[in-house]
Amino acid sequence: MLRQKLLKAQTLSDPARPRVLLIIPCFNEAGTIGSLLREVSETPYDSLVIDDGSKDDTAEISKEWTQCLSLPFNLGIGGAVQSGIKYAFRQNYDLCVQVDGDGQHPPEEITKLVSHWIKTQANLVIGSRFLSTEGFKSGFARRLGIQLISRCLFVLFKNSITDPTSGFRLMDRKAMQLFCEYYPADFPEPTSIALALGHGLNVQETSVIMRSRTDGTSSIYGWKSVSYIIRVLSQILQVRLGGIV
Amino acid sequence: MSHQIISPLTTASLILFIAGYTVFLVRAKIRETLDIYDFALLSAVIVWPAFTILFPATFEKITSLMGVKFPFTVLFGLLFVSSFILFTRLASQQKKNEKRITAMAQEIALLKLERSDNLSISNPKSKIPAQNSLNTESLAA
Repeated sequence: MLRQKLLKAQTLSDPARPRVLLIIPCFNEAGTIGSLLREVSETPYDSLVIDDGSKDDTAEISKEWTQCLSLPFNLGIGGAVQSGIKYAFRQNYDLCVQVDGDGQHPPEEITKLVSHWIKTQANLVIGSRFLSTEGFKSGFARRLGIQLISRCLFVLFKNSITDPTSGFRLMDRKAMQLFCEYYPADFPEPTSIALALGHGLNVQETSVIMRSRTDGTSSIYGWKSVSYIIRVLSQILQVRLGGIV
Repeated sequence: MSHQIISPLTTASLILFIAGYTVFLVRAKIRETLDIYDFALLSAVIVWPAFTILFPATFEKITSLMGVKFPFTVLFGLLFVSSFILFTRLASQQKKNEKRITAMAQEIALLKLERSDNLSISNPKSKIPAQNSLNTESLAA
């Protein structure tokens, strides 16, 4: 069914009514994107799918529901998310919420991120799956890796983040401005937190419930997980030492 | 010691190599396929062997100062250092180019989307629903 594109009204942003854009980076998510966008259409937010050089029908399916930013070739998750952030910033959105295209982030949980932002006015609000006992938690090895990264962030930045690899996050304009200029191409989730903390941004967490992946497999598995952890930790250290990744 | 290490045959081979490689490098520079810093680093393959042939006594003195018995070890060491400097430069240029290409690809996609947005707005036939602004009062309650 052809849906009309949602276009933002060209009104000035109002603190009581922040304009929110959901950015949904996708790479070959034709199996899940349709159902995700159906759920997203029931929320009061604008949305933008970023098609990261998919070889399947991700872009075509997305265009039936919302706007689609098609990258000319695959840039990776970091490049795709940064594209969405740049769009949100240029179109004067007050808040930008990253939602993964694999269906793991229930759109109804976005309200929790926005509520937390209203209460705290944090620059970056991360949806953590480990602050509650409900929902999907990842496997043991992965949780161990996440704890290592979390510990590293605490030691280097004195900030406790329980779910540093969560891609479910809300950014305000200050965070968007930073990420428009610097956003890590590799391992963007934990490194971007380090970047935000290194630039003095207020980074907070709120509890969300996530679902397990409904289609496809993770790109980080087996021995790749070990190399992932080593590379993430070294990038966080690099940011702490004043480097921009 | 150097006259025993660098025999006339070795000298002749090195001179031939230096001549051929110099021609290759200068042609590449003329065709602008190399910048001046890469040219200088790649010239190390000519410079250090030429130094060995032209100044054998000086080379031997440097070798003995470094405590190395076999002079060609120093020569290869200098070539390795030149190569690593070149690799570092190439890696850093590659990273810079990667960032530029990413930024360009993003701009192309964004401009394309913004252009299609503008076309939709300017098209009087398109029916666009008003945006639903998020009401924070209900969320704060």
